[in-house]
Order: sequence, then C-alpha cells, then structure tokens
Amino acid sequence: MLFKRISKKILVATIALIVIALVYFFPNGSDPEVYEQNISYIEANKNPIYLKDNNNYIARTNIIMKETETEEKVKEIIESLTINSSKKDYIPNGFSALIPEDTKVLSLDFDGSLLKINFDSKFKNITIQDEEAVIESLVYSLTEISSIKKIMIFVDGELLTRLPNSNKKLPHYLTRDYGINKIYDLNTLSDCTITTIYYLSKFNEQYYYVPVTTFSNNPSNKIEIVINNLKGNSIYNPNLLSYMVNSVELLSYELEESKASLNFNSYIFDNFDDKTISEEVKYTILLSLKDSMGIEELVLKVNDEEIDKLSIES
Amino acid sequence: MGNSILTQREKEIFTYLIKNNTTKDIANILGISEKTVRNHISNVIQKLGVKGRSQAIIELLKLNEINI
Repeated sequence: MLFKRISKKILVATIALIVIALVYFFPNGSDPEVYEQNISYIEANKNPIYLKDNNNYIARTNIIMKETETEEKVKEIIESLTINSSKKDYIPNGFSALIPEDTKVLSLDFDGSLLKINFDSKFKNITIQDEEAVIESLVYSLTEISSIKKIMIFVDGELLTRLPNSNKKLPHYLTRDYGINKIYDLNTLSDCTITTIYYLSKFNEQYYYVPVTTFSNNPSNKIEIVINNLKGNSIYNPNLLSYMVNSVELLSYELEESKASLNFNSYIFDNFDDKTISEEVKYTILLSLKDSMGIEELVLKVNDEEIDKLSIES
Repeated sequence: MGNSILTQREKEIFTYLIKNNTTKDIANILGISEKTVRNHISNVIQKLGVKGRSQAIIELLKLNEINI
C-alpha cells in the first residue's frame, strides 16, 4: 500500500517534469520574446599619461579614462596624477602619482590652446625631489590632449613663477619645451641642441616609454641625433632600452613641415621575411621626432621602399 | 623667494654667451667695456660656485634662468 502510494507520487512528479521540459525546450511556433536590454557599454578609453616609474623617471604609460570632453578629461588627468586620489586603483603597477595628496583644483580656464590651472595651497607640499617631476608630469600629460599646447599653474590665484623648494624659475608658459627627465651633456658653449628621445623600459614584463630630454653639444641634425641615440650609442642608464640594433643605418631622410620620411637599411627589420619593423622601434622614432621637432607624420622606408606610415593620433 | 639669482645685466650677458658671442662682441652689443663684461661673468661664476663659464651655463640652464 505504501509502496503503491510512493510509486504514484514518483510517477506524477516525473510526468510533471516531462511536461515542463516539453514546454521549455520546444518552441510553440510564435516569435520568441524579446527582452529589452538597457545596458550601456562603456568603451574602455585608454589615454597616455606621464607618471613616476620605479626608477624615478617620469614615464609614459596608459590609463583608462571615462571622460571624452576636454574639460572633464583634464580634471580626470589631474585626479589621476594626484597621490591617493579616487583614481589610484587605475594607476598601472610600477607607477605612482606625484601631485600632493588632497590637492584641490580651484578652477580651470581654457583660452585657446592655453590651459590655466589654479590649485589650492596643498600643491606647494611637493617635496624637493619631486617638484620638477610634478611639473613635467602635468605638462606632458595635459599636452597629450591635442587642443592643449601650453599650461600655466596658479596656486591660490597666484601664478607659480618658481618651484617652491629649489626656487628654480618656471617659464611663463609651460610647454613640452620645458623638457622631461632632463640631462645636461654640455662641454662647450657652442652648438647647444635639445632633443627628447623616447626609450623603452619595463616592469613585470610590461614595456612602456621613457622620454629623456638631453641638452648636448651636437652639431648634427636632430633626426640623426635621435636615430644615433636609439641605436644605443649613448644610453645613460641600464634601465633604458632600445630595440634598434647598432647595424641600422639611416641612409637618407626628407623633411616637409610636420612630415618626415626616413630611409633605412634592412637591419631595421624585426623580421626580414615579413619585412616588418617592430612596434617598439616605430614608436620610439615617432615619439622622439614628435617631441624634438614637431613631426606628426612619419614614413619609414627601407632601401627606398615604403614600409610603414605612422601619424600622431589627433 | 621669488628673486632671480642673476641681475638683468648678468642674464643679458649669459644669453649672448650661449649664442657663441665673445666677450668683445657682448661689450659692443651692450655698449659697455670688455672688462665690465668679464666682471659680470666672474660674479655669476662666484654666485653659482662653479669653476668656469661652461659650468655656469649648465647651472643656469638647470635653474631655468636662461634658455637655449
């Protein structure tokens, strides 16, 4: 009796399951229901930013940014450059921000290509070791925005004319001419040349770019100086790398306003069969020529054959 | 804080020096004697605590007191 009752219950349950399965798995012929999805996708927008690396260089890395409008982007960059800010979790490993913690931006003023930033007094809490680096980090990060060419820094409404600790003079307008990670290699007063070379460095197998501005006595053309330095002929620090081998020869070059065309021998190839130049070599050349000479478009040739064309994204 | 370490005249002289002008050239340009130019240069070298004109130029560049 008990066995019959249990069996009956099992049978009923099994039939119910089968019926449910039939309804669920076999369509009834009508159109499936469309669920309206209100999902907005935030496109990961990575922007270049200049932060301090583990070797105390101000280095170029990338950070995810949500904002696209210029003013909001500027605020987001400054926030990212501030120690312990709301953006601290977005800072890549191996890098650190420099603007003193809790520094507030009192106002921003856009005047054509000039950006005026008014910080509160906490900005002057920079250490003597980092004060030059803070300026370099701000200038280089903010001028990555194409509409910004120069900045002025104010503290509580007063123009910052000298660094707070060393009393070093600051130019009226801060542009990339200020230089970054500066090295002075001058022996005489003649033929002073300023070039910014982008080397490579790495942290945890991730490569990034380190720009170094050198003041040197070199009568050569800046293009030749850039290529010679990237060939490893004068790398000042073992933490700075270049993938351009010493046997690379710059055979000829042409300049036309902001466009440079460089013709190399085949040793510039990363792969002789595919005739490809490595990304690292291409971009160290492009970034170096951009900062040293204002080049925005680069054509790379090998034995007069055009291999690649790069441009600075606007 | 806020004062330059160079006088206006000293800044002028070093700006001409970095452009490869000789002491004589600078004296002519500024309408002063060569001796006065040399005195100004010596003052700057002493202020900066360096040994010569080249080192003075480097220090002044680092301090952003002059530009190339």
